Amino acid sequence: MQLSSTLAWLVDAAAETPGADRLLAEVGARLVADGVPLAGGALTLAVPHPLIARRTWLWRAESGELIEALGFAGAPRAGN
Amino acid sequence: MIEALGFAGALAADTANSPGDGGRRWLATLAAGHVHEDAVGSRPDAPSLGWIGPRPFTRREANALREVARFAAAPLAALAARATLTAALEAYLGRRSAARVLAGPLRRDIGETIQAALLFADLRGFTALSESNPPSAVISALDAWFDRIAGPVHAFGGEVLKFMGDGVLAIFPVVGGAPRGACDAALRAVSAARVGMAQLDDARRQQGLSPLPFGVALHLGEMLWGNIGAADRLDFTAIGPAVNLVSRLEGLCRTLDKSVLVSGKLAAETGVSLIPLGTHALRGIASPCAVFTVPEN
Repeated sequence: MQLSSTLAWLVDAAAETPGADRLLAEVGARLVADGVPLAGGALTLAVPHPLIARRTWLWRAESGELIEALGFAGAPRAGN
Repeated sequence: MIEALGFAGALAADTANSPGDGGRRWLATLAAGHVHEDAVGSRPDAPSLGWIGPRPFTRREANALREVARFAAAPLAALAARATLTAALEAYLGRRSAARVLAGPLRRDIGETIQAALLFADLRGFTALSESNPPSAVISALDAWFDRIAGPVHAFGGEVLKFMGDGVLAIFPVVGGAPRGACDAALRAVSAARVGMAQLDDARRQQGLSPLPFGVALHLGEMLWGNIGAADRLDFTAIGPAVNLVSRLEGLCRTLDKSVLVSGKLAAETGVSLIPLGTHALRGIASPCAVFTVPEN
């Protein structure tokens, strides 16, 4: 198991990734290539949004599929 | 997508628990190993990064994943800063305008001319409502109204450009040079908003509150869309004769005692059946405007 390529990518190139979903997929794929036995990964970020409290991206190692799940903020105020 | 991949059950209760719970539960359904999870940083709302393998991770592998989380902190912070800027602009400007602001130069420009179905709506009697109710009740009524107009606008592909007092200006951009799709979408949004407002009025009556009558006008035309303002204080907005016309047309709702008015220009581009109301002069608009309305339910 050699992690230098994953860590090097995180240091050198990950900040240019267009979104958190791609970052998760890239890290996951690089970890697998580095010899870490992965079935999947999940990345959760808190987001400043009127309705959404956090976003979770889910990555499946076998297929490379990415999906997104949203965690919503509080319920609407009463009387609305 | 979530349903199709069979993930919904694992994620359903995500909102009630700690930030990484949804991802952790999903990972646990994926393989036989134990979920390895690291917080990326020390803040209470720090990102979390979770992994699972077909077997439990060895100590060496777990240490390696911890290293990955540590090295991911800087790029994730950069991504989070970009996401925060985008989310703030989208919340205040709308998705399309936010994308334009982010992509364009941050200075005055002549903007871009776009063709769109324009929607202008406001509440009738809002001044009286605001003078006879406490501010919290007024804001609650405004929020409820905006939900019921902006929700359908977004659901049918439009975008709210502005909230102005109790007024709303929204657009349905014409795509591919054929206005019919935008015009039909605007009419569908108005139809949905009317249903929503009827339900809101029923709920308000049951609470002993007055209903919220409103007027909506639709028009098809061109407008300039871009950065307008003082050199150091910009507004990303839309201007042009079509914006003036739709605003004036909405003002005619009270005179004609109709909640929905449609300009002849938009009526000519839609297959939706409309009722002609004649030609009317609009204040500040040079040419009279053919006016239509929608059938009452």
